[in-house]
Amino acid sequence: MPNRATAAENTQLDAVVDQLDSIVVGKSNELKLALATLLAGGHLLVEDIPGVGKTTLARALAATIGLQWNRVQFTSDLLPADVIGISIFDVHKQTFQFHQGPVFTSLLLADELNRAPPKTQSALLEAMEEHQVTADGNTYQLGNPFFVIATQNPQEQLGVYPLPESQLDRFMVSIELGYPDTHSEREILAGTDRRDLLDATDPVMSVDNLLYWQAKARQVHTAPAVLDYIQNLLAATRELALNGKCNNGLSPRAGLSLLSMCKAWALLHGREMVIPDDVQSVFTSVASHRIAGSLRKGLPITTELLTSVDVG
Amino acid sequence: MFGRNQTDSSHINNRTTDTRLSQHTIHMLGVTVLLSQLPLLLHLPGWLTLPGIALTIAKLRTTAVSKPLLQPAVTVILVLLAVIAVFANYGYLFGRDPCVAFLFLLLSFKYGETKRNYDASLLVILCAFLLITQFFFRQSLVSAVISIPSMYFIGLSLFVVQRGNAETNTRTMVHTTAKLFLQAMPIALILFVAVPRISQTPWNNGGSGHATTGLSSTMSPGSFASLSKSNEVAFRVEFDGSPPAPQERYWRGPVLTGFDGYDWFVMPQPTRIDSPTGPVRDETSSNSRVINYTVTMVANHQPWLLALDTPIGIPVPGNNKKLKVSMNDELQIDTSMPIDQPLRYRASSTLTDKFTAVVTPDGATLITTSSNPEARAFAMQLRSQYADDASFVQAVLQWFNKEPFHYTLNPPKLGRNAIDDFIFESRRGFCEHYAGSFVFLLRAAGIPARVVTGYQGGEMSDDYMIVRQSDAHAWTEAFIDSQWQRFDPTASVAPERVEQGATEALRGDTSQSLLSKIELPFFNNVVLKWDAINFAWQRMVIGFDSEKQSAMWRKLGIEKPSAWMIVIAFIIAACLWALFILKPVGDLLGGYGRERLKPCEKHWQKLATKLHRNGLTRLPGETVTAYIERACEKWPHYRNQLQLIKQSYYDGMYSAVGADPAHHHKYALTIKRELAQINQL
Repeated sequence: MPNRATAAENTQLDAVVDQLDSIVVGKSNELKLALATLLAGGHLLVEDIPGVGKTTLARALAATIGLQWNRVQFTSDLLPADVIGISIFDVHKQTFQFHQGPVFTSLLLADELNRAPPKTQSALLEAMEEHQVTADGNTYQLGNPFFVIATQNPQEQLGVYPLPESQLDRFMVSIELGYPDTHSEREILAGTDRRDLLDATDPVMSVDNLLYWQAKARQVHTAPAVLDYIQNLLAATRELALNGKCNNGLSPRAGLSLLSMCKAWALLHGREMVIPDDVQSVFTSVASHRIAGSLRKGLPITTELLTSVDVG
Repeated sequence: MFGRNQTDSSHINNRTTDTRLSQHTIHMLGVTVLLSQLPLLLHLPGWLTLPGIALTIAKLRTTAVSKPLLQPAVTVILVLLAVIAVFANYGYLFGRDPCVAFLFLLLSFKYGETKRNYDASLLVILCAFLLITQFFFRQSLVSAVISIPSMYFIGLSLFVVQRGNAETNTRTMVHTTAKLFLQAMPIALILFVAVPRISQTPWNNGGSGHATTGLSSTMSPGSFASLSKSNEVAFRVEFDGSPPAPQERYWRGPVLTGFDGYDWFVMPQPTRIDSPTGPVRDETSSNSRVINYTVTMVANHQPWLLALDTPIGIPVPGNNKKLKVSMNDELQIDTSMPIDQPLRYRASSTLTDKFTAVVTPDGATLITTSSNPEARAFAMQLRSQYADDASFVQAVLQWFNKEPFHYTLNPPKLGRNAIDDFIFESRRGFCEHYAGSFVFLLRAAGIPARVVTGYQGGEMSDDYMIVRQSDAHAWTEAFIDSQWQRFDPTASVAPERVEQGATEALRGDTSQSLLSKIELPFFNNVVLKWDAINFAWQRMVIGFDSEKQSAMWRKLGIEKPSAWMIVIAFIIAACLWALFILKPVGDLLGGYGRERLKPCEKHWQKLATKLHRNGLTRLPGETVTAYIERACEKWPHYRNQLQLIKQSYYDGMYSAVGADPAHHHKYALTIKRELAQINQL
């Protein structure tokens, strides 16, 4: 059986999932989605109120995989240079010296992205897309892997600049952490402080391992029947958009993102083939923010789509 | 929406076993019922049909799904009322009309109480049956065409009922039904052409009190004038060779020898000639042209056939083997029963106006009674001037021609001595006046004579001739030199009547009411085209009998195949059909639109069908995993098999290995094997 062959090898991914589970309790599905996004080479958007563990999630990922990470708290007076870096005149050398900003890292936690002015937002989003930044005419390559976890406060507030849909498309996946259930909350309250736990965490995977798994995810087999199903779903969203039932239909880029996520999800579950179940598992997180602007608004639409489009 | 019907959720919940019909289905059935009932409105009395239609519409408009419109007790009362009403209308119960009327009403009642699947299936079958009954009344092209929408809706209703309300969206059902309908057409056509014909329609068409149209067995002044106003088709003729010239188109019908001083009538029981070769061949006319032709007669409910003067054989009916045809010594062609269905027959004639009598005419051909003294006196006086019969007859014809006789449809009213009044007073009349007076004058002068009725004329339309009721005509025959010779006094008065037809002859007539034909070339063209279509229908569909069928086989170069051959051919055809036509449709119904199903998919579909039959239907958008999980919960003892099937299905359909046909087949076999173990659900 093709999926048994990788079972032994797959233990490393299982170990990552287990370790993440022990730090961020009760959020198994969201953790897997975040990990799959990382494997698929995309970026993650977390829509949530403060204090539900967004930072913990980012730090847990960084700690478990051994990634270098930075955090930027976005505010309304944040400038692009604060994110990507700035050239300062070096008096001794009589030249301008580029000082790398927080974006030069492997995992960037962009907190409350929607508080920053559009110019700053787009500087980051460009970096996300191109995997490079340009300052004063010089281009600087970003590291590989480069993974952004941006958070957005869904509540309507003064002084925020909601991301336009075209920018939302840059995020492969959006998730919502939400409050933990009673049992998990008790564990958080009664257990060790998360920060101590994170400090004590040893990575179970190296950056090289991560690159290997990313390559492996790209090789997962996708049968024509699955592609049919994906195409049917894409077509259904476009039909909805035409009828005015949602803002946008899914773009081909969204289709590619969906496919990458399906592969990563399949790999995460020890399979070398994508099955329709994978598509269904990741569809809501990939499609919601693109078609309706947010996960919360998109959820009923994607649910309807999944229960109406025939599985190939 | 996206390939799903957005109907209310109530029937999604009970889709599996159930039984209650959705509002949507009820409406669909209502339309089907109405469409099946509509054609019969033409044939049944309104006071019986309208309550039925009203009930159907009432049900169609109700919105309560759960409650039937009619409670069982009410239905029983309604059925009793229907029996009484039908009996009151017809006076009997077991016959075509009362039975059809009763079925018509029953269909409405059944629809009124329909609420479950079972009722619906029965209702659709009843609709199909009621739809057929209209052909008991009329088998025209129009009846066939108006039944097409109802047939389509019957198909659609069956589909809707069978697919359990909401499984498939309406558009798909409409399309698929249309597709199946179109595919069924060639089969129907082949069945129609190839299945051995039954020569007699199984139902009795008679006994419905139709008003007879056309000629009758008596003639009195005025009877032809009324006929001439009718533009209805009497019969149509296809000639084997070229058609006869207009002045030769005398279609011989009833021969009126009897005379009572006012009316002319057919003499009862003349000698019958049953020899199939025909009665007489005249030496003098033996070199005149023999003409063969096929007549398609409209049902006229009269017991005789028409043939070109002079017929030389007993016509052979094509599509009614039970009908016995005979010819008497007056060359009148009788049938054993009235023509109640369109009849096709072959006939042969020589185009001659005289023939030798088999028996010498008896006294009946000389009867003048004691009426019309003036005419009698005139005949006697004229007779004394001419020695031989022939010149006397010519003299009478000339007299008609010279005197100011006028050919008109609206002659003045005549007294008791109608012939006296006509030839000396009014001198205005129609063919029956001339024929009647002429025969009377001849008889008064001692020459045996009689009136022959039939049709004179006919209009060519493409390759066939239409003879209408307005072509009805009466002429005479006189027995001179041992031969019956034809004389047409009308021709002496109005020669254009014979050469160009009644319409032309009456052009100057003050009463144009006869002309139901409108003088517009385009309109006339349309009328002719329409007639051509109707005739083609008569000829090719209604008239397609066993003889034509044999002819068709011969044309194809095959001996008429035996029933066995046909059965075998159909089995082979059905197999091919199933292979090439039904299979793609089946795939289409599966909703995947793929050309061919992969083996794994095929076996998986079998399992899905099996589960569906046992009340576990796969939901829209449900993955195989979820579906199998539900099945495992329902039938835990098959968990192993079900899980193995799921795994093999995934491997076969989605894995890289499964893309290889050999491996795919292996997985398919696993599914098949495990499927075989799941027997009792």
